[in-house]
Amino acid sequence: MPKRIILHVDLNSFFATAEQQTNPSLRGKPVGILKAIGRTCVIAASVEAKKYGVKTGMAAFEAKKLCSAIILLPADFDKYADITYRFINICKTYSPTCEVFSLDECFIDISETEKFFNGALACAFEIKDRLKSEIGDFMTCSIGISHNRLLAKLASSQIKPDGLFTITEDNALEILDQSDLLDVCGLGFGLYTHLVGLGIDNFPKLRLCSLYFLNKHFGSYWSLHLYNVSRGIDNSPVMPLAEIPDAKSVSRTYTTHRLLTKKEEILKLMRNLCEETANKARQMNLCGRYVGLALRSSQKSYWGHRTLKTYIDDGKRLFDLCCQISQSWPIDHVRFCGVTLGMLTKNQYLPIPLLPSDKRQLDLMSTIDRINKRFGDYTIFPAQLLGMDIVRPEVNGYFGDRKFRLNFLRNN
Amino acid sequence: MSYETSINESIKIWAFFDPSTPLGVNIFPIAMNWRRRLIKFHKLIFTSSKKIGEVKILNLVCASETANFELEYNTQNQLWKLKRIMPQN
Repeated sequence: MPKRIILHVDLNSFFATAEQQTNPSLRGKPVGILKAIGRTCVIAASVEAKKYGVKTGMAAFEAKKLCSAIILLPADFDKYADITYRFINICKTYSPTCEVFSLDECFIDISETEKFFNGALACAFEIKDRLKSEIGDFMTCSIGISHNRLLAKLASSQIKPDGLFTITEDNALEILDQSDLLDVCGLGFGLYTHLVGLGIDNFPKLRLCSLYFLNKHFGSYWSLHLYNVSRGIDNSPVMPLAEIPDAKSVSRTYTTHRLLTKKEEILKLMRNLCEETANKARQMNLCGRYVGLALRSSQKSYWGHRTLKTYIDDGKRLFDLCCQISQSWPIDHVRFCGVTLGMLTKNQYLPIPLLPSDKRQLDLMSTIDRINKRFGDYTIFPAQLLGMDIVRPEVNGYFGDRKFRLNFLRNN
Repeated sequence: MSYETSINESIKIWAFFDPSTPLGVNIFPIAMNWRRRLIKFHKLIFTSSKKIGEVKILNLVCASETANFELEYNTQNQLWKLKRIMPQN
């Protein structure tokens, strides 16, 4: 196998830096990003806030305790999506093999193209320069260069912010040994806890474990994964933009600002999320026959699903099914709701309506979709959603729906 | 300390449209007339765009000598709005 050259580009403290780019008076100050005004969870922290120990996922009051001067701002996902798209446009000019890993991270396989840009280091410096000139002078990124994805990602985390680090075959084991197990992508908290339980808390110890021992404790898949990770081996390819796999399910989740205690407002939220899920499926030209619903209160979680014989893409039908699923649940004090439409297929396989009422319903839906596409989401919406703050489409940090989003952004 | 003041008022802008720029947004505001005052911009700090239905909305942050201004340009009706004012560093 020829030696690969892979770049991992990671925008530093993305959401917070984007706000500092927009508002220069925030630069050099600790900034925390909340999902919206009134929310209590910090979803991103600036480099300055991180110095005080503020982390993503921390409660706002905890962040205030650690750093009383922290400036908490609501997120602006339209802005972040726009920056992401411009960031991807920069990255993909260096190789067609460019994988969008999340909203603020890209892998670029420049094995075939680095010679056109005078090598990997020149590529990395050019990306940094273009980020500043084409997006904003305060935007920085950390770039890791290595011969596989695992080590490229580890390399980019070595120097932050605005770092550049190369891991070669010579220093790979040394860098791994200096890293914590959790620093490596693909080794999550579950595996970590299991490993620590066995007395393995660093990479040198993990490397001493035989494949047989790992197989006994972690099964055939994870044993090989751990064996390879501990040696810095990763043969996974960089997935180009054009080869992003189709979505397997479409879902929309929402955590509320406050506990919802009235059944009416819980059903409104559920209807809203059903409309969101169905809308997204229709925009992706998909329909599904698996419906999942999750509700969570401060004490208890409920999860249920139905598998249908026919495919659906209609928010009202999805909502009716969710009502059936949740019929026996004591719905009160809801904090979280999630609706999933799975077992997807192309919507051209939907049955052709025979009855006039079904035909009318289909026509109505496509007319509403056309109006909303022209004038904006929820220009026309179900009357049930009147009197509530409608939950609207937004990007998420993991960019789980990247195929849809990238097509969507490309059309804008 | 306040880091921004929301304004959200329609304003008049003098802008330079440059189709040759490599940036995603090729509009450079030069000055604005706001509440009978002429404010000249000397730098475009940041641009972003979003879509509301089929209408493209551009957001531009411009720096004057005294403050930074976030402007919004509606590409359909070609109207400008002053969204907020932010202090300089």
